[in-house]
Formats: sequence, C-alpha cells, structure tokens
Amino acid sequence: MKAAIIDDSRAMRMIIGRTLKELGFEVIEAANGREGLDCLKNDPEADLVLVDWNMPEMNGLEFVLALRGSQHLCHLPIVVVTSETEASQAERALEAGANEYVTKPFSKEDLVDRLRRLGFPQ
Amino acid sequence: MNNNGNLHNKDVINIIQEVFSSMLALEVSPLEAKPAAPENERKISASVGIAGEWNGTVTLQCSADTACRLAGAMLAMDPLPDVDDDVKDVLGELANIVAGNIKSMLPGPSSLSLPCVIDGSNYSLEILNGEELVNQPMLCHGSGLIVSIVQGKQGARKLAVNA
Repeated sequence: MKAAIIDDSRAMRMIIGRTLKELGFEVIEAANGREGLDCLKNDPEADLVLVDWNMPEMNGLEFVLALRGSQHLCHLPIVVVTSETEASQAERALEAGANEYVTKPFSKEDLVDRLRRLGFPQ
Repeated sequence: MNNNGNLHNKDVINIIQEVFSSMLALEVSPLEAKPAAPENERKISASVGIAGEWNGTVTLQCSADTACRLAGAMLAMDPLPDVDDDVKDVLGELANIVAGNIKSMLPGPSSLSLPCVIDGSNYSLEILNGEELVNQPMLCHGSGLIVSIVQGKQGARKLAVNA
C-alpha cells in the first residue's frame, strides 16, 4: 500500500506519515497541491491521498477538484486533514469529491478510524 | 451586541489545552499574569490571519527555548537544539490549528491565512488599529506561552455599519 501526504507543514507530514507507516503504508510526500498532482502522476501506484486545505500554490480544495477531474487519478480515495473546522468547509470538500474529512487536532485513533472506513489497511 | 460570536477566554484556554494534549501530549494551564522574562530574550511568534465575516489574527508567542521543546514534543523527539525551520514550522502549524478552532467560534464564513513566523529579540507585533480581545498567558513545559487574539479594523467597521 502506498499513500501520498500533501501538506505544507513538514511536521504534519511526519506525524501523519508515522501513523501510516505503522499501518504498513509506504509514504510519499508533497508540500502543496501542485507538487502532489505531479507526484501522483509520476507514481501511479498510490492507493490513498491525505491532503491539507490551506497550502500555497494549490490548496486542498483545488487539489481535490483537479484530482477528480483527472482521467487517471480520479479513482483515488481522498482524506482532507485540515484546521478548517467549520461544517460548511467540510461540506465543500465532500461535495468536491473528498471521501473523508479530519479536523486538526486529531488523535492517531481518529485518523485510523477514518482510514478503516475507507477499507484501509487492505 | 458584539461581532465576536461566542468567544470567551475559557474557550480559548480549552482549545489550547486540547490542541497541546492531542498534538504534543503536553498539559498546559492558564496563568493569571505574564511570566517574567529576561530582557532581550529571544522570542518566536507565530500568527495566522482570519479574513471574511470576521477579521483579525491569532498569535502564539513563546521563548526560543520553549519553541524548541514544543517542536521536539510534536515531532516525538528530544528538544531541538536551536531554532531552525522545523521549530518555526511547528509553531506555525500550532498557530494554524488553534486559529482554525477559534475561527469556528466566530461569525463566518471566513478563511485562514498561511502562518507567519517571527524570530528575534526586542520586537513588538502590532495589528494596526486592532482591538485585543484575548491575551492569555499559559504555562507549558514550565515556561510561558502567550495566546493573543486581535480583531482587525475591517471587523470593527463592519460592526459599526451593522450597529
């Protein structure tokens, strides 16, 4: 299993990555949505994407829309992991095509629970 | 009627405690007054702006030593030896998470800015024509951390128009 973590905070990529590695994922990282798209285009074996909302260059919402519009990557499950805690933001992300929405702060159990809902680890 | 939703000091304290407990496994407690700090102490400030129906900033400020210890706690390692990009990243991310949770208690919709981090001594951070709503010292890792919330001018104008 391989997961892409897209977040402009290296600390958050490390924290999320640690949990994913414990679950058996190989992890690839990107610092914004644009880098994330490039990363996924170059690595077609990814099974899952976790993406932040507020990032420079391309934010998480733009990334979700771009991924869902991509012929080759539109099938990937997306978990938005964000500090945007308003219900209206979660609705926007889910309407755009995200599968799960996790607000920060989160516990390891919160994250694992959302991944299990998506059928991970497989 | 004010334009600050249901924002109270105790809610800000609860948010800080939840964020630090979840993300750093650290307990923090409110202080009555700012702890004394040596003159010319090196400080790190991380600010995140909120813009939209409510406008202002949320800022976390602590000493460089405390910032290094917070970064170590968040990254599950020993305190970092000096302020580097990882320490600034951690402070910025903590400010981002705190601001996101505070935003949900304010009139919306509004958006968060990317974090801005300042590292230095003998500086002051001022939001022009802002009104300080919260300035809450907290005790963390045996040293002080200050959380401040300042409402910006645009919010005040909107309030005046709506009054």
